[in-house]
Amino acid sequence: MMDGAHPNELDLLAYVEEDLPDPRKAAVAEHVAGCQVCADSVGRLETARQVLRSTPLLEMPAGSRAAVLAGLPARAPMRRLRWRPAVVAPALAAAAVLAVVTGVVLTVDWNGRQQEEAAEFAPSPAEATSEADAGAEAGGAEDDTRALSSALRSVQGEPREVALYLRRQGFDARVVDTTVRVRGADPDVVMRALAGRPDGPVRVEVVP
Amino acid sequence: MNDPDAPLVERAQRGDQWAFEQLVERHQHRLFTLAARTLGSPHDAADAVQEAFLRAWLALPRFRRGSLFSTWLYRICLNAAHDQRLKRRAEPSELVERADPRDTFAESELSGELQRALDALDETYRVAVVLYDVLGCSYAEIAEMTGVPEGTVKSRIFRGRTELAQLLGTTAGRPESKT
Repeated sequence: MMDGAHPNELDLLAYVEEDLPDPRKAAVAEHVAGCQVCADSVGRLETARQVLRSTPLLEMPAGSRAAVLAGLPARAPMRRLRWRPAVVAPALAAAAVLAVVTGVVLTVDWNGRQQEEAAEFAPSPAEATSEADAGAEAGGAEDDTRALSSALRSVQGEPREVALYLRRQGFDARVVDTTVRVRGADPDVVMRALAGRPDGPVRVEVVP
Repeated sequence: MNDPDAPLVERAQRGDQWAFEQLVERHQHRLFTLAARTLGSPHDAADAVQEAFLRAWLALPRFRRGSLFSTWLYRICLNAAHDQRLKRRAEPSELVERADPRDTFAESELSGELQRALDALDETYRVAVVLYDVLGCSYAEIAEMTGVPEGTVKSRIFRGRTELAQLLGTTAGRPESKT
C-alpha cells in the first residue's frame, strides 16, 4: 500500500521488522534504495529500535517486592453454586417429595469455591440510608415457609443489609433469623448478584 | 491459548498466596521496567508496581482465560502507572526523594539520555515503544493492553521510534544531568 509515491508508515515499519512478504519487501527495498526521505525514515526506525532493545531490564527494588508481599490482604474463600444437573436434579426431586411429606426444610449445600475481590462490593452510605425503610421491612419479615431451600453460600454483612442488597437487584429477599431467603429466583442469577461479596456469616438460600 | 502462568494463576485464584508470590517473582522486573520507563522515576514506578500487584491480587478471581495473565497484568500496571502520574501531578510535595541505595542502577538508567528522550514523547508513543522494543510484546498483546487496534499500535511504534531517534540525535551532545 503506497501513500503516493512512498510506502506508508506501516509498510516501512514492517520492512524494518522484516514482516513484509517477499514481493512487497523487494518493492519497498527498491524504493528505499532510491529515496532519501524513506531511507532516513528507515534509519530512524532502526536507530531507535537498536537503542531501545539494548536497554536492560530494571530490577524491582527488593524493598518494594517485600512491600508487595507484605501488603497482600487476605481474600476470603467464596462458595459458588455449580449446577450439575445429572446429580442435582434427582436429588432435588427426592428432596422435594421428602419435604412435602415430612414438612422438613431441607438444605442442600453446594460445592465449588471462588475467590473474589473483597473490595468489589461496597454499598454506599447514601444507598443504605435511602433504603432504610425497605430495610425495616426486609428485616422484620419472618418467613415460615417450609419448603425446599438451596443454600447458595454465606456472605459478609448484616442479614438485613444483604436482603436489601438483593431486593435492590429485584429479588424477593427476606430475613429469617440470620438467613436471607430468596423466593422464586434462579439460583444462578442470585449467585451472580452475590459474586462480588466476600464470604461471611449471612447465609443466603433460595426457595421456590 | 497456552499460558505458562496458568498453573500458578489457577492456584492464586483459589487464594494461594505462595502461588501469587511466584507470579510476583516472575513478572516483577518487567513490570518495574514498564512502569519506570513510562513514568521516568524509580520511586513512582515502585509505587505503581506495588499498586498493580495489589490490584491484580484482588481482581484475580475475575481473571478469565481469554488472554494471557501477563497481558492482563501489564494492563493493570499501565493503569496503575497512569494513576500514579495523575497523583504525582496533584501532589507535587511528594517529590521529595527517598534515597535507597538499591535503586542506584535504576536511578542511573532513568537519568540518562534515552530516558529524557522517552519522557519527551507523547505517552501513547512511549508506552508502545517500551512494550514492543524493551519488553518484546507482540502487536496483538499491546493492542489488548492498550485497547486500540493493531494498526494504531504499529502507527504509535513508528511515530514513537521516529521521534525518539530525532530526540536522541538532538540531545546527543547534551551533558548528563540528574533531575
